[in-house]
Amino acid sequence: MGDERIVDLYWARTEKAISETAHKYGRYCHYIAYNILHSDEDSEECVNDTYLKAWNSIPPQRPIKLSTFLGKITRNLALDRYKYNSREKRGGGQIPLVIDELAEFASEADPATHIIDDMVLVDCFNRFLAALPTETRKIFMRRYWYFSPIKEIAVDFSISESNVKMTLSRTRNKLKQLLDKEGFEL
Amino acid sequence: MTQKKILSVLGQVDEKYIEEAAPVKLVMDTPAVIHPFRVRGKLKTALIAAVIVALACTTVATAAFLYHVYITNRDTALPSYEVTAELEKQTISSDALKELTQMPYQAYKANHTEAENYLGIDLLISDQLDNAIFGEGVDIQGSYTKGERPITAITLYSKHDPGATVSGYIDMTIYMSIGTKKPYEQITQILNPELMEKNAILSEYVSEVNGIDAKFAVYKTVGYASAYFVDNGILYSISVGGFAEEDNIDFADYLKGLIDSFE
Repeated sequence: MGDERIVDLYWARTEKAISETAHKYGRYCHYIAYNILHSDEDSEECVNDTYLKAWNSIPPQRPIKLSTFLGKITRNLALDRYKYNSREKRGGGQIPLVIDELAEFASEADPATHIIDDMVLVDCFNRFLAALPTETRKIFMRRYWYFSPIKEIAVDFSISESNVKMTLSRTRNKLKQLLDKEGFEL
Repeated sequence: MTQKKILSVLGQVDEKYIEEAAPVKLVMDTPAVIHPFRVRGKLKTALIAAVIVALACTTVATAAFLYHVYITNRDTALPSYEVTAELEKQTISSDALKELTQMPYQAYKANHTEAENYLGIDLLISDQLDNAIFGEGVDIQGSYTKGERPITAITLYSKHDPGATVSGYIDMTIYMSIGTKKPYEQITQILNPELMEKNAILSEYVSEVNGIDAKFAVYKTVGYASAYFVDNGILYSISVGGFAEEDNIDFADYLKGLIDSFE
């Protein structure tokens, strides 16, 4: 079923919207959640929460691209769950590794003296991504948006793991240079 | 800026980058929606299919026919037809006579003996008439196709010297139609008054010598006379014309004399 039809089901308040969403995007959402939480049980709960949030958001929203709409919800829910699990000393997955990688140019502490405008930063990221070669951008997003393991990215893009790591490292450096240039304090 | 902040900001980037990097294999493919045929579409499809089938059948049938024609005729030498506007007159030969069996229309010049030999018939030309033919010989015209349409016409042209009694000349033509199924109808048609000159004098002559019954048309004003009769299944048309200085020449009498000469 097409996205538009599924959204129509949400607007019609038909429970079939949930089953159709689960059928089409269940694995997608679970993939995102699992990469963050590294737990089937937590991921499943996260995905179910995603459906619930989508149910509550549509209407009034009418997402054009349902996949990214659901993916964002899942990602945010999973990150929140990760924070909760971290406090409870639970979890694992790719998040610690990703955070370690990002620590190269970002501090762990949040300096309260610098208030960063999210909108400006998002715009900066968008410009940064637009300037990247397509494959590099995909690899970057797979790692830092989807939290995909290095090994999986290497397989999907038919390159070596070291090549993936090198690409990510160079891209991070470019991002750091851009943020420095734009005046963001890291 | 914290690492978590970066992750959070990344979560808000343009959706096209998120979609672009999405592992496609994780999204269930949308099954193809097959709409049932509408009646109109169904008819259109059926018509197109019918046309295609008809064209295919026609092509196959044509190919089969051409193949059959090719197989049948591959060892046959195609006749060469040459249609000319002018009839080519030449001295008749046995080969030339055989060519009378072929279209198109041909004309040959021969003497009456050669024509008789070829046709296997007696032209019933008396010695008197034979002696009278001294100039142009015999023109044989017609076609002969598979025995169904034998030689349709033999025309004997000659100039006849009327002798010492007259001066001037007389043209004589003997036209013979062979194998005509309805000779009398043809004669009737020829002698139809509506087709004749108004001044023609139509009459009938029965020869006391050989019993030939001939139809006559005499045109005194133009010095012309013709007679038609059927003998032994052959339609004869004899015509004479010319001029004579003496007024006592009667073309009708002269023609009657020719008819009497047939034996």
